[in-house]
Amino acid sequence: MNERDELHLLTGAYALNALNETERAAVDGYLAESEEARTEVTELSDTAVMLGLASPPVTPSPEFKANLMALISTTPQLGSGRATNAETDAAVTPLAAVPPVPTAPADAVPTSEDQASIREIAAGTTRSADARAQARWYRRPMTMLVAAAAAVALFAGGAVVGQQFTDANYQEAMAQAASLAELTAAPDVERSESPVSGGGTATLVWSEALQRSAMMFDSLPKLTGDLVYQLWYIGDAGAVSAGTFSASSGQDWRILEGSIGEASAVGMSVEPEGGSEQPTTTPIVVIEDA
Amino acid sequence: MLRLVPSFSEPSEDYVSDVESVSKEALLRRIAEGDQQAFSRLYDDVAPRVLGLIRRLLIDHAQSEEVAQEVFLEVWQTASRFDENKGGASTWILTMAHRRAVDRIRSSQSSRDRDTKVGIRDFAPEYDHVSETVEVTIEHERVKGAMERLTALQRQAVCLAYYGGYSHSEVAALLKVPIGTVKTRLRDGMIRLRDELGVAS
Repeated sequence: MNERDELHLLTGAYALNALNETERAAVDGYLAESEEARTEVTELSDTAVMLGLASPPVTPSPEFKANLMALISTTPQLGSGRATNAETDAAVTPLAAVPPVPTAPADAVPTSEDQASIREIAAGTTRSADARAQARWYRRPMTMLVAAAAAVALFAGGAVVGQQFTDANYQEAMAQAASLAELTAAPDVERSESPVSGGGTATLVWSEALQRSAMMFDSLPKLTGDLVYQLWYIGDAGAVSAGTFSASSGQDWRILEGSIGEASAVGMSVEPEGGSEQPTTTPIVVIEDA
Repeated sequence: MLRLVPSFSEPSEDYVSDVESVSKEALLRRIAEGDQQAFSRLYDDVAPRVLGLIRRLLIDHAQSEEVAQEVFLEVWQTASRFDENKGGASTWILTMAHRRAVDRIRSSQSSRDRDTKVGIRDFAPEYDHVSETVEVTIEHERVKGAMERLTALQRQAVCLAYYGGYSHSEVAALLKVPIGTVKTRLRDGMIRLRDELGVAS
């Protein structure tokens, strides 16, 4: 039996993902030159998919979908065929984690042209089919959005450790998850990211149509015992509370209470447990929603 | 191109929740343009199948969700690479899901975890070990029928490889037969299944 015969014998194992990397590469090479083998592998791979469909379906939890929708809303996509491998390799982040989004230096001043494309990108990413817009999106993920978000109030955060987020109300968590999923899938959804002073980043996600917004956090520090994070709608009339919460470890998100209304920004401050009527500390992040 | 999974790829079947009957392939094209709503709909269509398959391989639910998340992120990121001429959306996604689940199994740590959990049980001869589950799909019945037409060794080898995520050399060790025999049985077993299931171009 010659080498080609040997490789052809591996079509079944190939379709079943039962080869090691070396063997797989060898078969890939063989497939490139044998149409007969390609046809066989395609058919056997399709047969394998039938075996997959025969597994009992398992419906993921609503939280799983909500988290996933939140993840994709901050995950750049590969462009269409035009991008070179180098570009795409650089653009695609490891799949297992939320891609770290580069943040703009606080003094970055976007040009008016940037501003225009920012608006275009912010408003159009869920709809635009234009490949150039897409390419631009990959080159400058959130950076300019952050610069455009403006008004990032900074202060030196104190030591923050401790309190574990406990979700006493599972039903509420489910409702929140469904609400976030609906928000991130809204046709007019927009988002803007900003660093949080004291650590981490915050992304405001909002939909005018739904009159709903959410804040998603990455690496938000935990607070000590008697303190909570409080979210605020900020408008000409001042600040209106949008709810309080404690940070869980790593990623977290909150649907804001109330509706955006006339507010032009959303902020967050550290407040005593139970929250405050008005912010009593300097906001650690403010993101404009206009 | 192949139209092998009629009950899964046609809009009329159970898993399609789309009121407007948009095909998964059309949804993928929209996803490639950044359409999150299209992603949401495609997710609703295929997520139970994706998680079901991954769970079948990994057993552990938390790990299965992690891998399912990887798969869906990959769908989101690489939707522009989907080529309809090479097969349907379901085929693309489930092939990706199987590959990722197998990758996870082969990483040494999870392999150890899984072996502890499963105890390398000999589940291959009894294909029907899912019979206790409430939901029995049409595909399950068809595949079960086709499996019965295989020889015992073909069936064991294919099941260990596909549902167990074992490599051909591991299958050979588990079944105590030479690797060459396993390669052959995996191929002629799959060809038999292809013919029994009516999968052909």
